[in-house]
Amino acid sequence: MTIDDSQIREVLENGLGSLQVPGGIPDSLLRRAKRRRIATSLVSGALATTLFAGAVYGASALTNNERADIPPAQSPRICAPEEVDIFTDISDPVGTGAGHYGVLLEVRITPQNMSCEPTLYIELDDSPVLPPDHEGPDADEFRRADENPCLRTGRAHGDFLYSDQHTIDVGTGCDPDDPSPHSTQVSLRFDGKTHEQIDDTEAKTASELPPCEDENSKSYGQEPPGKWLKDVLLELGAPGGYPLTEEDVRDTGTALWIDIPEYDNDPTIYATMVTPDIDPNVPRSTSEKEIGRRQSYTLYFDETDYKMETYRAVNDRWQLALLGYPGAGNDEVLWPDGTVAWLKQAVDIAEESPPQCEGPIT
Amino acid sequence: MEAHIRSAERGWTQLLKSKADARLADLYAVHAASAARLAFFLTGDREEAQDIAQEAFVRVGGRLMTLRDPDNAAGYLYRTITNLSRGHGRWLQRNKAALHHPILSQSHEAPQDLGTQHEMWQTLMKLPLRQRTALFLRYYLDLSEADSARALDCSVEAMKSLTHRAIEALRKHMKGASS
Repeated sequence: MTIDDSQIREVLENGLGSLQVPGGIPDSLLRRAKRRRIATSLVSGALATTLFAGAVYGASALTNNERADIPPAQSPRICAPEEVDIFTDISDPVGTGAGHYGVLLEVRITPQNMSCEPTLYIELDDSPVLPPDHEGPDADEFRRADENPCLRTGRAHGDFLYSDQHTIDVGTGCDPDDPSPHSTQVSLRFDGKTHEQIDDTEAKTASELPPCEDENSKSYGQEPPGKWLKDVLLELGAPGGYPLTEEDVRDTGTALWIDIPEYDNDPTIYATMVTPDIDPNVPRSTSEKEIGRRQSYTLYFDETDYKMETYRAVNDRWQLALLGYPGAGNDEVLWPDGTVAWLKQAVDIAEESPPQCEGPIT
Repeated sequence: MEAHIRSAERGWTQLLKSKADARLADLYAVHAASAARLAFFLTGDREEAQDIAQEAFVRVGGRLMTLRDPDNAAGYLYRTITNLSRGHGRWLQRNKAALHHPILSQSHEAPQDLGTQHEMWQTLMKLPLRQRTALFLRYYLDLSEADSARALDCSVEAMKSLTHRAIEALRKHMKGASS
């Protein structure tokens, strides 16, 4: 049977032509888009286009038995947070491998008055941390533990990428699409120490050369990848022939993250990174197909749905990896042509250029 | 000095925000209908399509001023819709509903044509999402191969391949159905 173009057009016209769309752009859409811009622009500035590979995965909701210190206010009431406190429980961080860092995040909001059941929303690095009633795979990422509308206390056990800075955007409001008038941006630093208001936050500077390590006990699961790998990457450039600058390669302490311009418009591919070898304690799915050392392989984490394409160094201590995050709705991350070859090339160059270090051997 | 820099950044941010709103409104005016239709083509669910299209505009709007290729915001929009449609996890179920498209059943075409169109629609809805998107760009929006490729952020050859494979699959299925 032959099918010509006009038949396809006709079927599409018949099938799709009747779908009606409202005329002007809804205000709610503009507000949501604006809100989406806020966190990133405040932190990095409009001049910076740093890609941030942040994600919250596999969070498990925790019950918090705290009750409200403040009783429900009487009408007339409005939704407005009087205080927003964000606590991070980093006393016992759980390294989950691949540059991730498990922390407990507790958000407590004390609205002044309430006129309605408020919607608490939290955005982490421009990605919403969804409330429990959200239908979807991320439903449990954040759960309100206290049902008192005047006090929202929740805890999220997030698997955060270990980074120098995250942005939490917290707000309450009666209109879930428009909580921004009552939102607060807070910058967290999961460096094991503090969380600070954004204006007081200073960007963490790139690390210097790592201390020299005993070759026999060298473990990049313990030490930062170091400047030498950064130099390798700067020399090699990004996949697709794009040059890399110092600013494109960020050392977060456990991994180097590379912004790849080629992927800038692809919401599913967050970054390329150099990491220590994957934490063996991280559960991996049965779909992992490891061909062998020094071979490229793909793995998915059961709990997080990351897709990673890695290429290990011969010493089995570090690797280059591509990280794909299907959080943008893509469950089929496809690497652009040449990317895996780039990984291998980078590893080869790195192995030919031994790491430089400073200071006495530790 | 630091205060000056921050002040300048805030001012710049505000400026970009207002420009971003205007650009988003323009983008919406031109592409809202096709965005919703693409989402519907990919999901088979009208309400879901509207939601996905809105979410895609929000996402594009959030990055409008920092897109690597600002002139290709529509392409980014279509790719986002494709990704959102794919990732929702229930698209198979939605597709089942779409196989019985009410528009087609209400068509005034002759019964024989209706049957063929219905069969074609069913087959189209079974195609991989990127192939469907490619067909949508080429045959519904009537974009050229080059423009379609740019929208999908792939090479012209890849676009040709996507389209070719989609039509081949369609042809093969229709041939099997008619025999």
